[in-house]
Amino acid sequence: MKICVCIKEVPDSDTPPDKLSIDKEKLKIIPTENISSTVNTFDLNAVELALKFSENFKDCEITIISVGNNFTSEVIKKPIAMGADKLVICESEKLDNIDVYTTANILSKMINKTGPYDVIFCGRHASDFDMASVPFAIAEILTIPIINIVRDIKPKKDEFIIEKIITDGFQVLSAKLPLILTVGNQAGDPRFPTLKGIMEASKTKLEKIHLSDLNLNSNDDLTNQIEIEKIYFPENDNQIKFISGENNKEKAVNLLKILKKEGIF
Amino acid sequence: MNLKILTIINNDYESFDHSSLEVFSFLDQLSNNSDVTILAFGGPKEIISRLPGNNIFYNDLKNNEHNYNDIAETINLFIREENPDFLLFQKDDYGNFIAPMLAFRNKFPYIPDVKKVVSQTNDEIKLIRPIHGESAEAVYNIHKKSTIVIKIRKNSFEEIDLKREIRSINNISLSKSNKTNYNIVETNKMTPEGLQLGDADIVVSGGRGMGSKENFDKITNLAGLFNGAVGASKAAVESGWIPPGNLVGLTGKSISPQLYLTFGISGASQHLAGCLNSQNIISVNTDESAPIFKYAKFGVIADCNDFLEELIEELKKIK
Repeated sequence: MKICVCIKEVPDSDTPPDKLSIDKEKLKIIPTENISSTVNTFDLNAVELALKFSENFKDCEITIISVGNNFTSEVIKKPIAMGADKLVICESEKLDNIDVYTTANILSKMINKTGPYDVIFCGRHASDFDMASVPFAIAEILTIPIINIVRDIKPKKDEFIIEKIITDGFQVLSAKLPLILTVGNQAGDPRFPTLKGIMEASKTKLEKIHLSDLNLNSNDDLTNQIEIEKIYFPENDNQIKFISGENNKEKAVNLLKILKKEGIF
Repeated sequence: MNLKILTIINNDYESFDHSSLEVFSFLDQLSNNSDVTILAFGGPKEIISRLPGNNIFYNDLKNNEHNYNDIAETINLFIREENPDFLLFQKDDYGNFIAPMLAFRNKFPYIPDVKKVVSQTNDEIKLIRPIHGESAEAVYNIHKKSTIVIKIRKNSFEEIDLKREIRSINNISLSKSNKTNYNIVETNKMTPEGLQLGDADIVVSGGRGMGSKENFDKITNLAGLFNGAVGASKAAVESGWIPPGNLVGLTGKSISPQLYLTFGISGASQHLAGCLNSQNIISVNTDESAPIFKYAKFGVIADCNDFLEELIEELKKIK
């Protein structure tokens, strides 16, 4: 069984907006001092599901791939510390400001070069631009069927049973491989790296693929289709009023008075 | 501007999601003189036939369990036939899957979660969408070289009124996709607890600060006294205090009640993404610097469990 997981390094999504700033040239959100980047949380859920799935097979290899610029080595190696086998990246200054089309073109070429794979796992969306698009683009480029927001996959005879999250519930699907699966938090929290895993990760070399080795047609494959003109923080002139009171009982009474006065309740 | 627009309205068989009516307000922002074709999957025929548009094509999705790939294939035939300027989707299970799939299949630009049209010429259109869990916004500039696929953000546009008259609609059959290798075996729907989040004027939500299932039940109690719905943050859902159907946020429900009352929710951007359209946010938290206070009209700094008990007592007195 050959498994691939696509991951992205992003500013931590739990960072409060006042600790973020905007790089006006690169049209990106960047964390200010003392805040580190992280692997997109849903991508770590995808790694977790890939690891769980791999436990069903004696012979299984999990390859992590990523594309971008200025990777933080200890961040991007986290899936290795969790138990994945290989890490392959494509890193270039030219990839600082790429859209979902370019990202998917490069990842697809990387998948072709390092694959073929039976299952490709991706996070349901990246927390920086929230596009939820790259897995669909890869699916179309490689003509591999896709199922989104999967929380479980298990082998059953010569098929695979998949649970997909829908609004207010879930669906059970029976599927054949190959497949692209997108994964959200419902797949379970990413496991903590073990000490052995951390040692392993520190020894693991980042395998690098150069852009020039991917046979990309620079006019088509590396041209962004969608252009961001500007990024900004919306103005927030909200002025909160705190409800006063000697104790919680008094505050509760005062809150109900205000609700009445404002016509809210 | 005379535009050709293909609008996709998706609903489960027999039910109708009124938020799909928001697509038509967005459409008015695009153009007041457009040629609109509606392609509707699911929903009661009586409602579908009262949608505005020049032509309505309809499949009732009676033959569940339908595969989203078949719906995508059916829409794709229309795209080839009509060659529209815009292909519009709403944000739901169908749109989240079919919109990006068809955009990439046809190499069309795709912009999800659009909340506003900034400007438009014959050659390009500028659109705004939130990014980074709604803590920032981006202006996208799209060249009109081909069909542009847009998925609109929920609660960003008014729901239009349905037309009075019932018009004739064209029934269509679903195409069969050859791009799939899976089948739906079963669908399990769990109705969220209490009044549905999207329908309530008042929503009471609890987060990590509630501390336990027992304490969280007081949220349900208060929501009942307000005739409101129960919401929750990701932390509360993941602790198993309340089913996932009650989740408010980027990966849950997006709501716009008259009053949104939160207890023990700090306001991570993922949660704010689902509730900032509320008309009045009132938040209770021990931490004065909690991000949710930046958006709340009124705040109470208190232990949320203790305050919640007092509020329930006082509310019972005046009811």
